[in-house]
Amino acid sequence: MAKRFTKMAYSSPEEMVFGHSKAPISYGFGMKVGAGRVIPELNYAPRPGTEKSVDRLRKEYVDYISKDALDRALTLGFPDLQLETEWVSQMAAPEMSAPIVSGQRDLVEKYHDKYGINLAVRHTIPDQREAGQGLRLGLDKESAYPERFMTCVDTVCENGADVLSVESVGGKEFADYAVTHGDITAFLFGVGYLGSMDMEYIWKQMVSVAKKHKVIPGGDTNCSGANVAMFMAGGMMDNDVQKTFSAVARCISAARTLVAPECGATGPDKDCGYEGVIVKAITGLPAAQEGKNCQCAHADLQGNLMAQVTDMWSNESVEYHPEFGGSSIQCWLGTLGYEVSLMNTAIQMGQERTLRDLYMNSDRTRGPEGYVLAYDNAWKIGKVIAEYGDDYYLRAKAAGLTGANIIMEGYDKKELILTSKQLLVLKKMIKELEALPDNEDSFYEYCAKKYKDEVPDFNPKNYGL
Amino acid sequence: MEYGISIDIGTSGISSHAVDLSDGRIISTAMTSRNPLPGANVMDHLTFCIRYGEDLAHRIMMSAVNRVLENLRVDLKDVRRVAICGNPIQLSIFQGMGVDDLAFAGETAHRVRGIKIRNRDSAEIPATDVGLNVPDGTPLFVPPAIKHEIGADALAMMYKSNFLEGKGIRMVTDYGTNAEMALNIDGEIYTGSAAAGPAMEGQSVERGMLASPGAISDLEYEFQWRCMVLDDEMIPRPGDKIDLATGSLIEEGDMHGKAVGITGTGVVAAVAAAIHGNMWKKGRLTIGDMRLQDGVKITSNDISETCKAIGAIRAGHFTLIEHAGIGFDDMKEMIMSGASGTYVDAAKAREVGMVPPLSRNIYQIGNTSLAMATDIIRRPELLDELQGIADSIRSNHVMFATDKVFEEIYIQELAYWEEGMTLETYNRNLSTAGIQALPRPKGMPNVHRIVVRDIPVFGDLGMHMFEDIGTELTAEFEGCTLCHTCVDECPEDALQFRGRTAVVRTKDCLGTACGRCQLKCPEKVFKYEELRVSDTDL
Repeated sequence: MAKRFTKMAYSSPEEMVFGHSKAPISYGFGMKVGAGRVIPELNYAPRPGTEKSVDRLRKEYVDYISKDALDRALTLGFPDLQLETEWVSQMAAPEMSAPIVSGQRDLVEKYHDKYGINLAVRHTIPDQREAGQGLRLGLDKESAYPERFMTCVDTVCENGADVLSVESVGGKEFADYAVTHGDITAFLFGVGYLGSMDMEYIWKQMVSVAKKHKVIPGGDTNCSGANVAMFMAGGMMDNDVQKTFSAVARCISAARTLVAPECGATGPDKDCGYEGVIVKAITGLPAAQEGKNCQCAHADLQGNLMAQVTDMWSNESVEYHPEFGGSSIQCWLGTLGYEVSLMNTAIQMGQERTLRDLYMNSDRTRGPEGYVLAYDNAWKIGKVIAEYGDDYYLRAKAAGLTGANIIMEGYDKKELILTSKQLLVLKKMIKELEALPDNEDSFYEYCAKKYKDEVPDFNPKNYGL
Repeated sequence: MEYGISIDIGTSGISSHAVDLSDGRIISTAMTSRNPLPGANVMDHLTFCIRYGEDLAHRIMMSAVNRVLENLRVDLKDVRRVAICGNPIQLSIFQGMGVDDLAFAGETAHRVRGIKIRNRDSAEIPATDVGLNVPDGTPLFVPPAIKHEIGADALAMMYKSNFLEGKGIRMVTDYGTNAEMALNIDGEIYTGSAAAGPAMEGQSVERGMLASPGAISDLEYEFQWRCMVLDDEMIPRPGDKIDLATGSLIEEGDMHGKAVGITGTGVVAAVAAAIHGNMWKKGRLTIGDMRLQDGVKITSNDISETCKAIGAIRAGHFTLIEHAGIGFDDMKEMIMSGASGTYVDAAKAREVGMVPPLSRNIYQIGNTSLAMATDIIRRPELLDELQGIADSIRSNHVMFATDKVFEEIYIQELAYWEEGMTLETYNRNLSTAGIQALPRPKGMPNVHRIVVRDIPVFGDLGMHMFEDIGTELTAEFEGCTLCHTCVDECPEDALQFRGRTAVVRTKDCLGTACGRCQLKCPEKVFKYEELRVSDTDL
């Protein structure tokens, strides 16, 4: 069994601030994360069509994207930069990805040696596993996606990456059903319970390979669940999914994303894991986050707030193309780098807590998703996860229920405005979560029966059950 | 009970077994931590011989060897056989044979000086003739050299491994202060010997020490670096976990508070950590001193000394590969012998360059010189077999000191380690000289540790390591003001004064490679050559 976090790294939410973590980590070419300075992390996507050949894709990532980014970082005088390559699916083939991993490594080494800029590269591998075909090694006879997943891990680690990450999809068959049906129990079962078991399965292996090759195992994100809910909940004018639902889903996802550090991941975790605020409160590990400077990728209602306790600030992803100010990645690096510079100046001038609270209060009541992630509330959710830390089910349930109650209290004291539909969904979730069994076995029995027909792709063998 | 004694004389120390001749069992083991001659490598020892006389060197050596024999704790009156092994220089000094043919390389140098190549075939001579304190008539067995520069120690590393077996390409290296190396390509052998220096054995390192309780022997990667500290049973156990970039303590380990120094293997691990963390730039650590646990630290100078040793070894391997006309991707099997070659983390050794970068299988086989000498004790007729093997080896010895390829590569090594030259430039420079590129290590090697320690068996009486081997050199210098500048300047604390007499402990002295005592004397009256061996020692 993996280690479990049953105590909070931070004894109070007030302790948390951007640029500082309880367990800073050093790697790459002079990179120090969570050690008193926020680091910009630039993420990018190649132009469509470049993935058609090995040479063209390597050139796109290394000679165009990475070189552009490094040149702009020098131009603007940014002292640190982490590149993040989120692999396109074609890179699951080692002959496609290995030259990119080693090419980026060689390039950052050259720039570090020549200019002294602190650099590192994170590689985030694709998780193409399908629940219907099998999530574990040996189960997927059709596409062998689990085996291909581990090949990606090996390719990252053997070719000179600094950080290994993934956006894993365990429990997605339930998360998809839950989000589209507004079913919080299905989300809890899929992401909170089954997702945690899948995380333990893959992260133990990933950490082991990373350790062997001296690569930093960064962390994971529930992009495939909580972010899907958040994107569908959308902005003020969208309500395909109620924001109270997506907020509670986010709280549950924190209990699942925590499993990566429990298996040995060291942070910085994945930028798009908005639940990273809660995970940082529990573990004290450096958190990568995104918000206002990732408008190139998506819009959400907590763009400022997400910067409150970040250690690495990301743009999520931008497709490579020309803009007036240079290439798109150069322009978005500019916005990232200047935001980070503001944060680091605040740290140097002793104003970091003021800026943190400005960020946080700017979006605290813009919606329930931001409300539960405001660092004081996030810390409270982390605390109940740690209290039930030994039990995947109970801690995920406690996280969801606590998040829901925090939103309700905010509404009751008129700090947070909810639409009547959001309120209705919130009350239903609280009632539903409170009524769930108080032990794992009964919960599993209940869900296995309840979703037998609704989620046909569910296969207990995927989770070692 | 009748005994045989096997002896290995290394550049950085002497080790020996007492063997029960009735059944071949090892009874006891004795070791010294230093070679008794002043200096840290074979060049220093040769220079000492040439400058102060081979006879003096021989007497110092025999004084130390006889002390080793005493420390075997068996009755030396019952000794019936002695066998010896070591590199040609140490064996020649031991036998009282001249070393001028080894000190001066090349036919011209020999012709000009009238030097004759000495016969280094296998020999059986009376042990008392070389000054061993054993009964009259005890035979001393000396194994053969392969050629005059390729000594019995090189033969030992080939004979005691699978190096000579079958077809294929494999390399063996005896990692020591003087690194003997050989490359076998389907029976065609290429040999060389690189003067690596003692850094990899924990010497010439500020907090360096031999493996003993409290020594940091390795750094384990746990996403930060965990010090591994030897406990009282000499087992490495987890010490503190450190963020080397910031020097901060991440987590205390069981061995917290118990580290007192660092071994050569620990220093190699520190080099691997520095390289992995990109903390070694232009010949210095970018983080200042590398702070480990309990105040033990690695300085830039420590890393530099080790990197020079690694550079010499890598250049040696590279040179043999070039002369053999093969590529690095052909070189997949490596055999590591010697104490350093046995205890070092082989994967880290490959990362830093001590092992060819694309080696897939690495075998760590222990001290082969002592093992072969012990085999001879058990079976003296082996000496003839060894002569046969030595005669049959088709060897091509590459004299690195005069070799153009080695020179070209070693220049790149120095620039790479000391001046911050990139691997890209390193390879570009070699390319213009028509030499293949040095690839980065790839994948993880399969490491086969054949023995648990370099000397697998200590015997029932156990192992006795002792320090008191050194003879003393003394002199009174006219005009000396007793300012003790020479004492303060001695980096090895090998110099002290008894009244007006300067006393140098030879085992600690770096000899001709250092000379700071003489150089720094404000009155210019300290003359190293006036030092004489103390009569009480010999």
